[in-house]
Amino acid sequence: MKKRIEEIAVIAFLISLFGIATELYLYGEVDYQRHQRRIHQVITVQQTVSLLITRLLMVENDEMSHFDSVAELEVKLEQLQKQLAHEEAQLDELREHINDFLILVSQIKSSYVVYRNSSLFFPKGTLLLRQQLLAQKETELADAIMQLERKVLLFVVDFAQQEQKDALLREIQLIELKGRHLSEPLHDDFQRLLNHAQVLIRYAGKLQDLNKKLLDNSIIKITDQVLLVYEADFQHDIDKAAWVKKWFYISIFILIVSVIVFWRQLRQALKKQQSLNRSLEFQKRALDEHSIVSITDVDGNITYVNDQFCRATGYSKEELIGNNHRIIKAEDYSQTQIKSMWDTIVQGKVWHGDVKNKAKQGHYFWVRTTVVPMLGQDNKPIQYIAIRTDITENITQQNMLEKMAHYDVLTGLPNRVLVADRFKQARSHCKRSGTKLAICFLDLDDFKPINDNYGHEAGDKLLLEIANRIQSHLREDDTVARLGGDEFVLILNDVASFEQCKQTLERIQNAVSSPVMINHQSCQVSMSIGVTLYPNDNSDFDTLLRHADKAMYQAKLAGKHCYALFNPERDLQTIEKNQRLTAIRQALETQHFQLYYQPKVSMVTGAVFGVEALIRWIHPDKGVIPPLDFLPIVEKTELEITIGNWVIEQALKQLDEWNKHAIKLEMSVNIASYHLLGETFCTDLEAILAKYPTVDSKYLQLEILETSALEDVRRIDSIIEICQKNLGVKVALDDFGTGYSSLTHLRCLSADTIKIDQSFVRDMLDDPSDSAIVEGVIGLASAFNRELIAEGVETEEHGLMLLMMGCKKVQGYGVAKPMSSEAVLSWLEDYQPNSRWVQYASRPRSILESKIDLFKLVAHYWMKKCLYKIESMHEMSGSMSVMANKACPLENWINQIKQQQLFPDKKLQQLEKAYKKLLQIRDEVYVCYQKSEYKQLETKAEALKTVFEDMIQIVDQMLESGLHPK
Amino acid sequence: MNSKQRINHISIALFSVAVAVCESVFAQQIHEPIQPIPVYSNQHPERVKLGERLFHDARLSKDGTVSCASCHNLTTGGDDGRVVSIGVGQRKGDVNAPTVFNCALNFRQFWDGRARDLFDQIEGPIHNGKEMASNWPFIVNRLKQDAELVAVFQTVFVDGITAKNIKTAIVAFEESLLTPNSRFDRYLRGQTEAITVDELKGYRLFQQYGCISCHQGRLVGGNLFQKLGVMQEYFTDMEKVRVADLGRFNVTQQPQDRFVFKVPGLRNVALTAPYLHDGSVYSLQEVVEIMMKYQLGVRAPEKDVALIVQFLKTLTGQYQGKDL
Repeated sequence: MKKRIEEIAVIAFLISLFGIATELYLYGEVDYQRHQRRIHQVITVQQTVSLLITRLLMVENDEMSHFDSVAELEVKLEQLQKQLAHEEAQLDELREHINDFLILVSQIKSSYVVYRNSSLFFPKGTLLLRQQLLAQKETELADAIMQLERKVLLFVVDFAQQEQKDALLREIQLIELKGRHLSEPLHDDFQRLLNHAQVLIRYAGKLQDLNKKLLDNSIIKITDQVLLVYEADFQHDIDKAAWVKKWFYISIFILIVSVIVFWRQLRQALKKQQSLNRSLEFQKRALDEHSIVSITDVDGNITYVNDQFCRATGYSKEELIGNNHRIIKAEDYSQTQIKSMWDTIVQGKVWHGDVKNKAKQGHYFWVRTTVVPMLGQDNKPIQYIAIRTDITENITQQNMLEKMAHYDVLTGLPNRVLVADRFKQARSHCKRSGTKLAICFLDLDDFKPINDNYGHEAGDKLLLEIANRIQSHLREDDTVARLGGDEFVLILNDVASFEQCKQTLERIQNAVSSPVMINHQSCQVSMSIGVTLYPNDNSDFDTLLRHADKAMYQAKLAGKHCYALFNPERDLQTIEKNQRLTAIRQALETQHFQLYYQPKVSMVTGAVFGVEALIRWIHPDKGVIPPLDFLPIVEKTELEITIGNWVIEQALKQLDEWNKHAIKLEMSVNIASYHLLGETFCTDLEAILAKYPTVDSKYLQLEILETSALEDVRRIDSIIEICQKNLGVKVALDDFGTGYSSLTHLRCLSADTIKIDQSFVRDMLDDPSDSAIVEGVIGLASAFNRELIAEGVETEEHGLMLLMMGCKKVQGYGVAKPMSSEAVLSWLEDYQPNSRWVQYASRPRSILESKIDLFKLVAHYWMKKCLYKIESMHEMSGSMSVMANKACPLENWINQIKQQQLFPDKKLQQLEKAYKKLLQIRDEVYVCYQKSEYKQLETKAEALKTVFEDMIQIVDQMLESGLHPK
Repeated sequence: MNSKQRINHISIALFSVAVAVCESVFAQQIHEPIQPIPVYSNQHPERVKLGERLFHDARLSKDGTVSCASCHNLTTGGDDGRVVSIGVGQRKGDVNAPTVFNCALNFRQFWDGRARDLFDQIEGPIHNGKEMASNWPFIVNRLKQDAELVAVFQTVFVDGITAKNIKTAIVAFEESLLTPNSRFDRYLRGQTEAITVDELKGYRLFQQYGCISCHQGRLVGGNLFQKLGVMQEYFTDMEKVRVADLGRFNVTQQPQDRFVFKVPGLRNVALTAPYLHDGSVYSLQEVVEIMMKYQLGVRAPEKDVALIVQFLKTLTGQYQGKDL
C-alpha cells in the first residue's frame, strides 16, 4: 500500500512538473500583435488629430474652400474615440480630450464661417454705405465709418488687445448714436454694417483663442504618455516573459533530473529484484532437491507442486494444480490434527506435524510436514507453502516397534506391558462393580521336547495354535497375553467366585489338550494353570503374577493338566524369600559382592572407550552367582537401593583407582527402576560423587531399563535431566527394543545413549525380523541423534553387520567377557583391535556398497552354516532350520533391494534366478538328508558352492553397475 | 533602438508619405468650394436590394402603417413634402424630414447631429413614439414569420434575420442613394455649357454674398454646425420657442449650442420644400432671403436672390440615371 502511494506521488510530481513547465511556456509568450494594435490605435489618433488641425488651418488660410475633408476627419476621429478600449484607464483622459477637441473644431468651423463672411462684407459694405452717406450729405458719419473701418481692420490684423477691443466697441456705440437720425433704408444698412464690425471685433479674438486652444491641445501629449505606458507595459511583459522562461527552463531541468533519478532508482530496484530472484531460484532448487513442496491458496487449492511431490503422490502436475489438497488425504486422517493445522496457519503461524497421505496408486505414505503461511499486506495468509519429507520408513519402523512394545510378535497376543495395562483397567472396573478379577498363569506341560524334536518352527506353530484356542474360549472382556516361551497370562473379568472361574479354565484346558497336527504328525500337550483372585489377594500386578505363577507351580507338582488357586497363607515361598533377602543383605555386609567389568569398544578406531559394571556374588560355597539369581529377590525392596548405591560407589572407586593409572574409561552402571524412582536417588548420587572429587562425573553412565519408564515417563525424564545437567552424569537406555521399550518414551526421554538389546543382536544374522529391529533402532538413534551401542556381539560377523548397518560401538563376548578389575588391567595390556572391523570402517561406503556388503556378509554366513550342516548332517544334532526354513534371510535382503530400486531390473532378475537355484539345491540337499542318501551330499555341496559363487559375482556386478549407471 | 521606437518611426514615415499623396490630389479641387457627388460603386448589390425592400416595409412600424419610405419618398426628392412628418397613429413629428438622398454624405445625422452615422440614425425613427414606435425584437419576430423574407435573408446573411442585419441592409441601401450628374456637377467637371449664364451669375452671387462659407463641399453643406440667427436673433419671441428649436443644445447642453443646427446640404434643394428645421418656409426665394438677413446680415436685391435660386436649381441630380 505504502509502495503504491509512493508510486502515485512520484507520477503526480512528474505530471505537475510537466504541467508547470507547459503553463510557464504559455505564460511566457509575449503578445506582440496586441502591443502593435494598441500602439497603432494611439498613433492613428495622433495622426488624425494632426491632419485635422492641418486641414482646418488650410481652410482658415483659404488654401481649401470647403469642410468636407475636415468633416471626414472629424467622423474618423469620433470613430477612433469610440473604438478606444474602455477598460483602459489611461485612455479615459484621451477620450475626454478628443471630445473637447471635436467641440473645439466644431466651434472653430462655425466661428470661422461667420468671421469670414463679415470680413468679406465689411470693406465692401463700408464703401457702399459711405457713398450713400455722402449722397445724403452725412460727411461726418461717412468719415467716422471710414475711420472705424481702418481701426477694425487694423485690430483684426494686429490681433489687438482687450482694451482696444472695448474701446472699439464703445466707439461703435457712439457712431450708432450719431446715426440714429438716419432714415430707412439707410439706417438699416448703417446698422447692419456696425453689426458686422462688432462681429469682426468679437470673432477675431474668439477665433484667435480657439485656434490657440486647437494648437495647444494636449492630445499629442496624452497620446505620448499613453504610448509610454504601453511601452512600460510591453517592457514589463518582456521582463515577465524572460523571468517565466528562466523558470520554464529550471522546471524542465528539474523534470529531466527527476526522471533520470527515478529511472536510475527503478533500474537499481530491478537489478536488486533480479539478484533476489536468482538467489530465490537457487533456494527453491535446493528446497526442491530435498523436499516435497507444494503451494496452495487460502482454500487449500493447489497452485504449485514440485517434481518430488508428483513422484511421492503418483499424480501428475496437471492433475494436481487447481485441485484441492484433500486429494491426497488418507481416509483415516486425524480430524483434530487437520483442525489444529488450519487453526495455526490461518493465524499466520507455522505448523509442524507428521501427516498420513494417500498416493494415487492407493498406498499410504507419511510425511513430516511444515506449513508456512505466506502473509499478505494485511498480515493475513494469501497462500501456504507446505514442505514435506517422506518419513514413511521411520513411521513404519516406529509402528513396528510400538506394536512390538505391546504385542507378542509370534502370536499377536498382548505382551506383558499391555496386559499390565489391561489389568489396571480391569482393576478399576472391578472396584466399581464389586466383582472379582482372576489372574491366571498358564504354562504348557512338556513343551520343550516338541521344540527339540520338531524344531523351533514347529514349536512356534504349536504356540500359535494354542493361543488361538485360548482366545476362542474367552469372553470379549477377558485378556490373554503371552509372556514369552510357553507362558501365558489370563485376566478374567467379573468373576463372582473361583467356582465360576473353574468352568472357563477347564474349557480352556480341554481345548488346549486336543491333538494338534504339526509337520503331518499329531501331537498333544496339556496345560497347567495357577490362579489368584483380586481383590482377595490385594497385591500389585507383578506380585499377583508371581502368586499365580506359584499356584501354577503347585498345579504342576500336583500332576500337570491341573489348575490351582493361590493360597497366601500357605505361601512358603514368602518365607523362603525372606530368608534369601537376609542372606543377600549379609553378603553385602560381608563384602561378598564384587563388580565385574565388560569392555566396550569402538569398531572404527578399535579403541576401548568404556566398561559396563556388572555385579557378581562370590559365594564362599556356591561360587560365582549370576545377578539374575539374586537381583529379582531384592526387587522393589530397600535392599535394592542399598545394593544400587553400593554399585555406584564401587564403580566410582574403581574409576578413581584407574585415574591413578591414567586409564580413562567410561563406566556404565545398571540402575533399577525402583532405585531410580526412589526419593533419595539424586541426593544419594550427588553425595557419592562428592566422595570422589577427582573423578569427572561425565565418565559415569547410568543404564536405565526401559521398564522404568513405564512407571512415569515425566518423572523419569526429570530425574534424567537432573543427572545430566546438575551432576554431569551420562544416561543410557538399556535393553532397547526388548518389547518393553516404547518409541514414545524414547522421544520423551533425553538419554544420551541407546543400548540395543543383546537378544536381537545375537540372532540378527539368522533372523530377518531381528535384523529389521536392529536396523530400525539404528535408524531411530540417528533420527533422534543419540549415541548407540550394541550388546551381545558374539562374533566378528556380528560386528561387521552392525558396522554395515551404521552402529559403531559394541560390547559382548566377541570383544571380551566381563572380568574382575585386576583382569581388566592385564586385558588392556594385551588388547588387539579387531583388524577386519577397523579395516572395514576405515573407508566410507555408499548406501549401495553397504547394502551389497551386508548381502554378501549374510550370504556367506548362511552359506557357512549350510555347509557346516551338510558336513555334520549324519550326526543328526541341532536344528535343521537353516535347511528347511523357507524364510531364508537372503530372500529378505533381495526383497529389500528390489523395493529400493537401487539396481537395474535386469541384474535383479539374474540375482533372483541365481538365488532360486541356490534354494533349489539346498532343498535337494534336505531331501537327501530326509532320505538318508548321504553319498550325494558331497556333490550337492559342490554345486551349492558354484551357484553361490555365481550369485556373489552377480552381486558384485550389480554393485559395479549401481555405482556407474549408464 | 527598441521595438516601440522602430514602430513609431515607421508609422511617422508612412504617415508623411500618405499626407503628401493626399495633398497632391487635393491641390486640383482645393479652390473649388463645391465638389461633385462621387459616382456610387455598389459593393454589396444583394444587401442593397434587401435594404430597398426593408426600406419600403411597413412591418418595421408598430402598427404596420409606416415604412421608412413613408417619410422619405424617393419619387419626391427623398422627403415627404410635409412641414413635419406623420407617424403611427397619425401623430405629427417635431421637425421637418430631411431628404434621404445623399444622406450618407452628411458628417452627422439629424438636424441636431445627434446620430454619428446612419446605423445610429435608424434607431431614431424606429423607436420614436411619434414615428414608427417600434423595437427590434418585435420587428425581428414579425419579419421571421415571412418565410420568403427569411429565405432571402438567409442568402444574404449567414445568421438570417437579426436587428444588426436589418440595419446593415438598410444602411447599404441608403448609401446607394446618391444623386450624381446634376447640371452643376457636369459644369464642375468641365461642361461649361451645362448651366446657363444666369445660373452661373447666381453661383457667383452665392459665393460673393458668403452663402458658400457654410454651403460648400460635395453636399453643399452638411459638414458643419451653425447657429440659426448669426447676425440677428432668429427666434425673437422666446415664448414661441419649442424644444426642437434649441437644436444642438439638446445634445450637448452647452449654452453656445442654443439654436445651433447642422447646416443642411443643398443638393436637390429645389425638390425638398418646405424648408428649415421646422418646415416653416415654403419657397426657395423666401428661404434665401431669410438666410441673407439672419445669417449673412446683408440686404440683397430681388434679382440677385432670383439668380441664386436659379443656381440652386442646377443642384438637382440624377438617381439611377434619371433626373429627379
